[in-house]
Amino acid sequence: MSGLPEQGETLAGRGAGLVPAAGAARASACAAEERRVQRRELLVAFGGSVGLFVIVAAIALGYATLGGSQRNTAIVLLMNMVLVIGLQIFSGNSGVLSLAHVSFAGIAAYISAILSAPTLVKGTTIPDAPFGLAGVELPAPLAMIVAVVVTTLIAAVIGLAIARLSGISATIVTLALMLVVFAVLTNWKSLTGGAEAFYGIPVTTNVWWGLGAVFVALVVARLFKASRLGLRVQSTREDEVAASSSGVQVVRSRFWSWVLSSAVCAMGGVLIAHFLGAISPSGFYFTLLFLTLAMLVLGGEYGVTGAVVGTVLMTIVSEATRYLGDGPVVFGVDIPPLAGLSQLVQGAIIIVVMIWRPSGLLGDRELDGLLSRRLLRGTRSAGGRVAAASMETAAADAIVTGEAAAGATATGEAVPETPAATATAEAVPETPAGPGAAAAPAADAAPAAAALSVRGASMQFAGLAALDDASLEVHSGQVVGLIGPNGAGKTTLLNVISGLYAPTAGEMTLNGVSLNGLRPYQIARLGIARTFQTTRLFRELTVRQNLEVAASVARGHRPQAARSAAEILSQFGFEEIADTKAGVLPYGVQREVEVARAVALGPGILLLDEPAAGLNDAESMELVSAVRGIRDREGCGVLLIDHDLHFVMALCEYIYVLDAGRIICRGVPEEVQRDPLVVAAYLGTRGGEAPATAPTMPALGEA
Amino acid sequence: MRSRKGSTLLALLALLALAMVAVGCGGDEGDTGDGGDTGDGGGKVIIGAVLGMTGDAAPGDVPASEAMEYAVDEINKAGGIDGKQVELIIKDMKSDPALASTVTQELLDAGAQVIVGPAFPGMGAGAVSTAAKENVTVLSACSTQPEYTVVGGTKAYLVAFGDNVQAAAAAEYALEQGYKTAYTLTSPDLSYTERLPEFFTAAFENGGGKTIGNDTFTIGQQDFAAQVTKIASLDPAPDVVYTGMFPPDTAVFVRQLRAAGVESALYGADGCDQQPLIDQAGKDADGIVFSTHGYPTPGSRFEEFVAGLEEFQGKPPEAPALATTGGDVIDVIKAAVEKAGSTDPAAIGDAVAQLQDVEVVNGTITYAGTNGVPQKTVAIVEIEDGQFVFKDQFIPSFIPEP
Repeated sequence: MSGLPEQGETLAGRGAGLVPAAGAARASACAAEERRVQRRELLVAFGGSVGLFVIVAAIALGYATLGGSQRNTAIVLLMNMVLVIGLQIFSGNSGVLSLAHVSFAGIAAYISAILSAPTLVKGTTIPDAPFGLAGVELPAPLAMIVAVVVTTLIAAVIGLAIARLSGISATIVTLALMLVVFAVLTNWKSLTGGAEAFYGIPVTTNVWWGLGAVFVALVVARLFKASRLGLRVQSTREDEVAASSSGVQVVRSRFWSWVLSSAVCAMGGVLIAHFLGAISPSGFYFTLLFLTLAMLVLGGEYGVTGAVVGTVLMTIVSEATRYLGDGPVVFGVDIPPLAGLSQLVQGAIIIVVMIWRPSGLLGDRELDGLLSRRLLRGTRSAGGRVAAASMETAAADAIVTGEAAAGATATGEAVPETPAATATAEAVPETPAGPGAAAAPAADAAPAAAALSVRGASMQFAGLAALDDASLEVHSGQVVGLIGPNGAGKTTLLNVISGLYAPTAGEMTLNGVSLNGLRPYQIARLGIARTFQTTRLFRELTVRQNLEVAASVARGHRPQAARSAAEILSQFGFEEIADTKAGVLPYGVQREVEVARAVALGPGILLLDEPAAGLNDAESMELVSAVRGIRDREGCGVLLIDHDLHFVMALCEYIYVLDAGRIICRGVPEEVQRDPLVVAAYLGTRGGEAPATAPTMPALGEA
Repeated sequence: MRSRKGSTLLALLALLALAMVAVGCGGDEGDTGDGGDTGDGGGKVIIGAVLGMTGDAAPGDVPASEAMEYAVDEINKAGGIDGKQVELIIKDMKSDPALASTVTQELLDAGAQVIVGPAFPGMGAGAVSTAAKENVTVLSACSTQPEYTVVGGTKAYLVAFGDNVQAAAAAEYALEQGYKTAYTLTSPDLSYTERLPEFFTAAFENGGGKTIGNDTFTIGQQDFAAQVTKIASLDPAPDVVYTGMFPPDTAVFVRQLRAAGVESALYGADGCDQQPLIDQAGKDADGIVFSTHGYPTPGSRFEEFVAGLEEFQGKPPEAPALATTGGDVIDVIKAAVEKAGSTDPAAIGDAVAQLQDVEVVNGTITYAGTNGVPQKTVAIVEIEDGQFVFKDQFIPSFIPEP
């Protein structure tokens, strides 16, 4: 606690140089509050992993005391658990199924084995080992540490490539990786001794080593899942496009989960090597892969608790069926031996569970889900002061924010006041701030005049021109509409602005900073947030987590605009659904959450893709005031697409009309409504018959 | 809602813990019922077999286990060993190295005084190291890989000959035929296919022959044209081609070899001792020579054993030569217990190390003066007119170091 104010001050000091005082205060208060919240979350997660560990330890130790063979089984259980938890860190969080993790266990096992086996044995097994390894004999614990470190480095190098891939292509690459590692272990005979067993490894693994490794694995995996980085990885699992548009650097976050996960699997691998005393490449191949995958999938790959429960459950099934399969006498009944019974039962269980509960027995539930409620309740009654204090801070935050918002609105009002102002503003981009103007200086140069400018954007899809020399501008505090018939290129333009598409031609700037060539996450971090035509929420994450993904990015990259997820939750009235998974919410609420997520990014420009789609008239009008409210509070510019002309005319201060990729008309709503080209584009014209009088557009919108 | 989920979770975990303990107790009960503690108690000879009844080791371990059951049954019918009945407990280790030590521990807990290990050294390592903690000796029935004897950190025993022995026997037989030059084919996929040619060359060159070339192949390779072309281009052609290859590869290879007009003799190892080779290679199988464990020469113990086994299990054994190794291991254990005069594991282990000229199904076995790979007779068989024909049975005079 004592360190917190200091950090807050430092950050405030740093912010003061860049942004107006109100923003800085808001940023520091927000950061401090968030740090408190996150610390509490991590504490709860840590408590959960300790609780889980105590249960695992009780099971393992209890079972181990029953006898020698039970002790062996307990050790195998713990080793497998380390592997499964390691696999969970990557596959569970990123959603990318990895088949290569047993290979990292294998690499680590071999490194540790080769380093620690007696030189006497290596003289006969691998006398010609490269790097003079035949003459090296490290103590087992040191060899294990070296093995984990080296394996992690190898995994990191491979991860540079794998993190760039997603979905099935990533899985296929991990499959290839597994085959390559197997081939190397088998064929690099001078180092590994080849296909047959490498023996002479000091046997040091016991229940205590296993428990120690499980503890480390549990804490690492659970804290990672609860961390902001872990949350970002999970957001990429749920929706890569939405994640990157929320400022998440998909490749980097995935990379770190890969590295961490490989390190934990390496730890499992060295334990196996020093348990068996003799290892062969086939020990880290399909059989182990299927076993660990089955354990993870059975318990639920999204959660650490699921990984633990899956491992324990599968081990119980395996032991019980093995016992029955050997043909014991149970209650006087002589059961005939049945080879293969355990594989049969394990397979059947996997099939049943996958059909009955596709996300595993536990899904993403964690033990601390229960513990945290108890814990928080306890804090509230016993340590009421802490809670009260944090609530005071939140209130203070709200006040500061309010002031800041008021200030922003006050300064912002001057700019979009009249259509004329917008018209004259056309001259502004002619004198851009220059290519040297970086993001941070731009922010303190003119925080209130954040302007998005698109000039001459063209987008060709295999010869089809979706956008043709389209230009538009959005100013801070201005709500701009982009309308046009289906297929006019509206969403394409939004995708170009948010970096999902690289335009074939055109210039885009935000506050004079070029957006050309930037990736979606970079554009998001500069302050352009967006929603999607069909909602793209992180469905398996809670509403709070959805907001937190964007809010954490804002804290890291736009501290002056950042606000806490809690603040956004209350702003949108989401307190009741804060801990509900976004995917189960009604459609309308999902759309609101998506807007809230975009707002959580603290945007300078907010892009809304058909926000009114599927809403009735009353709801649309509510949305009008909602969007205005956001604009007023955030002081941001809004660019929105919609078919509902009534809605657009009511909301927007300036409108661009796009048809067949070209901007055919622009102006204030009244002008646009009367433009014959617009009417033609919406109604279609026959021959040269141009509409003499302008029909009333709102009526069209309702049609 | 939330807390109900939480308590379901807790209940599930508690249930898991309970089930785990229940399984453990169940195992314990069964064990104590079987035989009490290790040592010289119970008046029984207890043999624990930790075998790969499923998985990679099954092709060797399943036939051996059937033969072991038959052999034990025969001994018990004849009054046991020194009047003690023999109990054989077979447990499946699923060809899983990690499970091997667990299963071995279960067998030790069940009172096993000697352990029969699985077919491959990597799988046997855990069994050997676990058994060593209680001074119990491990023998593998059907492994022929010499590293088995050192892989577990303690001395273990092969019952079959080592690959160095059978390759040396093949080399000696080839030299007897007047062959001077050899060509070898190796595969790094198994130490069996990799090291047999190395041992053959060592013995062949020790006896004055010369290996003039070597090539590699992959197990399960569909086409041997590359290897065959190389051999066909040799001038002069080698007298003999030696390989550890086994069917179905051998059948494909020999057909292509003969089609290319290569007349050199083809020598192999005990993996060739199976009827499918003749079925698949047809006339081209004629002339193939291989080393194996034994042969049912009329009136031999081998013939008698295989006939008895067929009657015992109601069907002919699928791999008779591999099955007989199961008979051999029981014979060795019987001799060791008799020599030790006790069922104390350590005494049995000492006795095994000193065994000399023990009569087994496949000839005789001697461990005295060896590192655990027995001196054992090797049978040489040639395929003639689509029939396996017994050629010779002997212990090679020169055996290369494993």
